Amino acid sequence: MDRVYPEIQTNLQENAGVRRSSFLQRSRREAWVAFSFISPWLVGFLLFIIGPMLASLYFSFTDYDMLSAPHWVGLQNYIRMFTDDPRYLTALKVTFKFVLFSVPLKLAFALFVALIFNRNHRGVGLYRTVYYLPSIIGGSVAVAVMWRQLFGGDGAVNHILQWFGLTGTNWIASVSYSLWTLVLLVVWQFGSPMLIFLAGLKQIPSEMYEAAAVDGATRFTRFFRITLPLLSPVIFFNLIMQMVDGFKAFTQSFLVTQGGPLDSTLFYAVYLYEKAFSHFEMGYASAMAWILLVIIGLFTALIFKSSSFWVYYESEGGDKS
Amino acid sequence: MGKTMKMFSVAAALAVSMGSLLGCGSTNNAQSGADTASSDSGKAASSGGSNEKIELHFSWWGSQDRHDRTLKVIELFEKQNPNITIKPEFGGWDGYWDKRATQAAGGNLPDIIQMDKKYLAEYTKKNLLLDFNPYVKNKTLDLSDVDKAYISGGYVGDKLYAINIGANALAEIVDPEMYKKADLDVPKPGYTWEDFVQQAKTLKEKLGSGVTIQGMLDKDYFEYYLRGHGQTFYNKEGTALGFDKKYLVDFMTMWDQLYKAKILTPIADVVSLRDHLENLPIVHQKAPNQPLWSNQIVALEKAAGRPLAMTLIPIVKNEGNNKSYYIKPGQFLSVSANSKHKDAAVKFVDFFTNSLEANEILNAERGIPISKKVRDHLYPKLDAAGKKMFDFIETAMKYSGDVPPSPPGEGPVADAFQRAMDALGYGKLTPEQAADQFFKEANQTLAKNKG
Repeated sequence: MDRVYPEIQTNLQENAGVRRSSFLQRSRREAWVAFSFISPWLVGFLLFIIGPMLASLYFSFTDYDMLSAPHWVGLQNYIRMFTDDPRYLTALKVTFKFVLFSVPLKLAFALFVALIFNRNHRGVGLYRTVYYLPSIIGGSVAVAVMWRQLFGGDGAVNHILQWFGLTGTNWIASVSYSLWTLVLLVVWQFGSPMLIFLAGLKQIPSEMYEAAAVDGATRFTRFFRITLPLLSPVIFFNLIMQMVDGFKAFTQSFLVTQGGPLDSTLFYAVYLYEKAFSHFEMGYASAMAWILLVIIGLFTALIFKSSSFWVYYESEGGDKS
Repeated sequence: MGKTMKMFSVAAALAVSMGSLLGCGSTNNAQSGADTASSDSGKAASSGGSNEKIELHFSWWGSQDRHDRTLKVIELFEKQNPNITIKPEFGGWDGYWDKRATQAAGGNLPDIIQMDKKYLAEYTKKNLLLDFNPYVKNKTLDLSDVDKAYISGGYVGDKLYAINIGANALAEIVDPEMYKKADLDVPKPGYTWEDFVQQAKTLKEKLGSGVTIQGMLDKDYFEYYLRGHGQTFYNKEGTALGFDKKYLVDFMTMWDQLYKAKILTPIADVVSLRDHLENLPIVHQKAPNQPLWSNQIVALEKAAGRPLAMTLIPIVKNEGNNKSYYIKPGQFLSVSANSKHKDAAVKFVDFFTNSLEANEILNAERGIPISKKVRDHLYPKLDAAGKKMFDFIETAMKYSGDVPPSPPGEGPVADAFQRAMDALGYGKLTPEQAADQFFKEANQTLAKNKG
């Protein structure tokens, strides 16, 4: 064979050698290209997220007051939080209460409205936009001022109550009711989870509903046996996202009630901010931030663990109950 | 993808990332006014040499009226000193100190900072402020016609860290018409806390259900009360409270009884109207009195749209030499110890304090000017409200003792006091419990000053 087709033989040999080395070269080159494409994000991530996180972890073991160099104090901040700071425990209580009520309420409303918008009536596009608007204007000062006006002693809500012969109180400045005005504010901004639910609903094939209707299933049965299970991955996603947001809530309390009155709306993040910037206790505040991370991580892990019992992924098929 | 295409796209990606990083930097520098000043712009504009362009940063808090006046004064200074520009940074009291703390952490505090007594100790303890003494000695900062009483509040030890730019004292502002309706005269200076309680009851009786009395519930009012009893708020080292708890319990009991008798404005209204001067009850004739700092009479009268009277707050019966009153520096000007242009900054402080033209523009909105020359020059030009304020300070001087020191941590201590008083108002704590809560929190904060 060599005698007849020498060129082919040598060509094959050459190509084999070249191909082997260029494979390594190519993959290294490709990796380098990939890195340079993500370099803007990577630089930002390291500089603005990882860097400050590590700094904050360090500060949590110091008594850093921002005006002078930090001194190492070990676990003192963490111990003080749980043994010698009643306002910290208040902040935990308030935040848990807030999350416990605002998250399910918000999701329930979002799902309810998404179900309504899942029909293609005329003008439904306009209504969808309108219902989404509150979550766009979000945590702004303008909304806070408006909320204070609405629920103040002389506000619109009390005037409406008067038509029904009821006398309202100053909801914002009331120790018992102020937290609920903030829950209401957050629930009112259900637009984002609503849109996500809507997207999820649209993915449910209508043949299922038709088949069920033919078999005589009522609306309730169809909702609980078809809609909810097929929507469960979306519910799972929204639950996690809204829960994390709930724990981190800050602007609503900071702008509307400033954590008061009497710490009845002292969100964790608001207390953290006060400690860091008003009391010059940045070290203590950093420790608070890391505890919050642990708390959110714990709850997220719990929800993930529970998901195998109630979340059905179509791709996995089958009934898990 | 061909080789050249690949290299081109890699180069483009790198260019975009570099460009965006640089772009972010420069847009920050372009912003001015109310935003936090970027550290670069100050340093870039300031180069060496005596007649080179100098750029100073100056931060202050206040109302819109104050902002307008201060900006005009800056313009005036820049006109007289063409090689100096001043970049202003202003806003409300809320958030002012948070911004300063962040700037301090970054080592770029403004060259000139409006300072408050509450934070002076904190900032001097961390060596963030310039000592003015050498500048006073060489007359760059001329304090020759300033009475010691006006300047003493700016000393920490024997170093002068802050120049008083507005003398102030606590005042009781009353509506003489409403008092007349209750057959009462405007209280004369020297009336006591017992007199006040009596008047409050009479006013509530005669003026009816739509009217309530405003209480004096801040830490500062309590400090006047303590001083009249011969006590000090803090101990000498500033490491703990320096008075017997029973004084606080008595003070709180006085207010508790007025709350329970529904004579005082309900706590919910007090809380929601905090820092909203234009909507205080006296403006809408829902209260016949309003305790305030004396420099706020001008804005309050403007909001009320009618003339109001100013008198002292109650003093302690037979207080003798334990003077309740003191002349408080309402705000100070300090210079950052890290300023790159200390001379220029001190020159501006001197201008602010001594220039007749500048003070005509400022019109004592921050309080009484400390320079006698300036006061005498301003007095004839003042309107009725302004004259009231000046006369008031003259009267208050007669009842005043030394300025009490404020150790680091006064901010959190004042917060804790307000929360304890709020708890009292909401009926959540008894006077004893509220006093206990305050003592625990305040002493915890002050204990950090040890060593």
